[in-house]
Amino acid sequence: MGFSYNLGRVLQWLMALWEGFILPLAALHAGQHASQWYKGWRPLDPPAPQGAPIPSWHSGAEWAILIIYLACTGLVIGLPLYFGWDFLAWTATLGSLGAYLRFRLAPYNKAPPALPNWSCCGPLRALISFLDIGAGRFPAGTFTANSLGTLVLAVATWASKFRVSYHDLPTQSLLFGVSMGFAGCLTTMSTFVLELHTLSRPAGYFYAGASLAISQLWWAMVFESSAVPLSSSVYSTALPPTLSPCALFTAQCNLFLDTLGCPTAQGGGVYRVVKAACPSGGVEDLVGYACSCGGLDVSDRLAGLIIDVQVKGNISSSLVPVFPHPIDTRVEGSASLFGAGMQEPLEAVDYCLSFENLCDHALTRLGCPTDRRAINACNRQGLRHFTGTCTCGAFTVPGLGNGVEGRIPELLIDNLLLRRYDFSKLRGYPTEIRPIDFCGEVSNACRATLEHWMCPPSERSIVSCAIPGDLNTFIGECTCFGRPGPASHRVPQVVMDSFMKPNLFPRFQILPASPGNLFNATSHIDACATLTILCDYLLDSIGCSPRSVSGVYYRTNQQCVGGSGALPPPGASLSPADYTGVCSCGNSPALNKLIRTRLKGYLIDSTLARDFEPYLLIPPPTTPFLLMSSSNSFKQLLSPFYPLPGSNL
Amino acid sequence: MEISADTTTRIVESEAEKPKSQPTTPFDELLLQWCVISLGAYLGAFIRVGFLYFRGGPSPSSFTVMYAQILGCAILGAASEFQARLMGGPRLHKLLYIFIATGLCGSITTFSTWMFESNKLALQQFDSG
Repeated sequence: MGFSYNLGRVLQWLMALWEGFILPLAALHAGQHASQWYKGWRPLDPPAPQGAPIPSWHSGAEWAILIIYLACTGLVIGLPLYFGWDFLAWTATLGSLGAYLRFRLAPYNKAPPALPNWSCCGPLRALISFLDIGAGRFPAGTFTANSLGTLVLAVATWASKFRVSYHDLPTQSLLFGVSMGFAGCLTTMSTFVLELHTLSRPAGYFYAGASLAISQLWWAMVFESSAVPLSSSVYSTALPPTLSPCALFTAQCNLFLDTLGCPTAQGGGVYRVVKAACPSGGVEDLVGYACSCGGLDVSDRLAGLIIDVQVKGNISSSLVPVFPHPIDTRVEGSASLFGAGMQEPLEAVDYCLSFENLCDHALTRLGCPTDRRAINACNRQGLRHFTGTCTCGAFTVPGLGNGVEGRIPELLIDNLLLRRYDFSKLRGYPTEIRPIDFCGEVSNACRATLEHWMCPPSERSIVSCAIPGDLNTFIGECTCFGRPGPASHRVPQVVMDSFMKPNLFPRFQILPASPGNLFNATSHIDACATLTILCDYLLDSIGCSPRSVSGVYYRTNQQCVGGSGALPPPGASLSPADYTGVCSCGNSPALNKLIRTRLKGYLIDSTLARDFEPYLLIPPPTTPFLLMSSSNSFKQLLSPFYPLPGSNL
Repeated sequence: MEISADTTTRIVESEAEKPKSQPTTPFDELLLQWCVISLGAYLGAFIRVGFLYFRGGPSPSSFTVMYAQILGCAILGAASEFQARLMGGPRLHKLLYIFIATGLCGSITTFSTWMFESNKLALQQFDSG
């Protein structure tokens, strides 16, 4: 686990422990002083002499206690269940159990437990005599209750975060009851500070130090120990990787550049740059990588594809806690792409937990050693604290998923939104283009995403365009708790994908996707011409004014030096070395950066993504590469891009 | 008629004799303790969980449980001044003290959550935002 320890954090920890002592201790003193006022006002009855007969009216009071107990038990169980708050019913019932257990442990504060005369208990007996419990120098009962309860809370918290799906609400309610009810009532602060108040100072220091030390030790053991790896049970069938990510990167890059017809050297200058440095062959040593041809740099996107190869095939089958439903291309009935179907209840996911699960899975698939992984989605504190750390040793590149623009957060957004495409509205390119309200669709998709992540409505910030419908004012803000998150970056991309990708693959499919012809790129595509077409289509679709400079938005489309922006004649080829990648609409920097990034992705996707399935057959088939039941499931996963027979595309 | 009346009176008499021979109540001591501790735990746990939803205050990010700690410790501080008298007093007074000290205060306050929140500060990135 990639937690760094620094002085500031240690000081905060000590401060928290210190505050935790001081404030309750001060409150105890305040209560004691306040009671003096009551004492002076009305003294209590003198204590009854020993052996005095119990007055008969007590039996009635005891009946009353029993009846009140039964009535309250019915209320605290029945009312929460009636309102659907079963976690409160668990809290109450398990809490009474914990409190009674603490009451039964209390006698051991004064007297040591009577141990059987077995040989096993020698060390325990030595400990008891060392602690001198009989002399009242060490409240062993409260100590046992506190340390035991802390252990229970640690295990329950760990289970609820890493072992139990967020969707499993009954079990999560039970775990809440165990945490807040049983552990919360078993442990006590009030008796603890009262004992510290009465103990002698050396005994008090020892007692407090022992209580804190063992409790903090529990937490370290449960959460920080490498013996309990993060979410390992979710992927109990995780397989060792069968090929090196560096080799995969190099092969994919060469395939892509071959397809583009990128020259290896020209006039002394090297256009093609293919680099993936893994000194030991493992991904943890991937200190740098590059894949470019002239100005066309596709490094990050290619790294993202490698993650896709590892992860996407498992989405529908094994990532059940993360992805409760397989991706399907549901056709909605409304004219809006993402507006349709938003009324239906969305399944909520714990985004942080999903991120960590998916990252752990991807790193396992990439062959990252456990001790080199750094996985930290939200500091275990919810979406408000999203950091999105997913690294493997030196491999901290955006392609893997470090930070808000990585591949792991992107895949999690795709998982929701890909299901929301309405492909039936989009057929017919290039003869029929139906511009969409890009600003509105981004808002819709963002709202669905934040709903999906259980972001509280009051904490959402959704501003796609400052002026609705005006692309010049595109901002693309989609955040929760005002923190930069992956949604601002990814949601507009997915909206673009929704109309780009269905049209991409039928048009630009060149290589036959057969296992016999994987890396032998026999046909080339013209990168400049392809990008020019893609740019035009994209700008048309988002409602940017048509091809010439007319209307509201100034529109440029010059992918390569010398390219006119119009469709080049068949057979004409421009060198990718002259790539400039200018494709813009209006003057919104956010929108133009988005367009530029996305176009390169489409070029790669149309060339490589459809080769996923045969590519997966390359590693030795002794162990299955992906956790798929049949080779067809990956096609089904990619069905938006990969038209299956009988689909409506 | 007469015979049945005789038997009825005999039963009533035998039932009336029992309390005389056993002056204590029919309830076991443990049962009563369980009842009062459970009542205190219901109340205390709900108060503590309620504080979880209480937002605002001086430092909400560090200690959600601190309000509960202060409340419980103050009540116990006041109650502890009467501990000797109540625990040395009649049975109902003992139950009252157990209800307040063990059941209520012990359940309002918690040691484990404090340990958790302190540990969070040390081992995880602390973000005051």
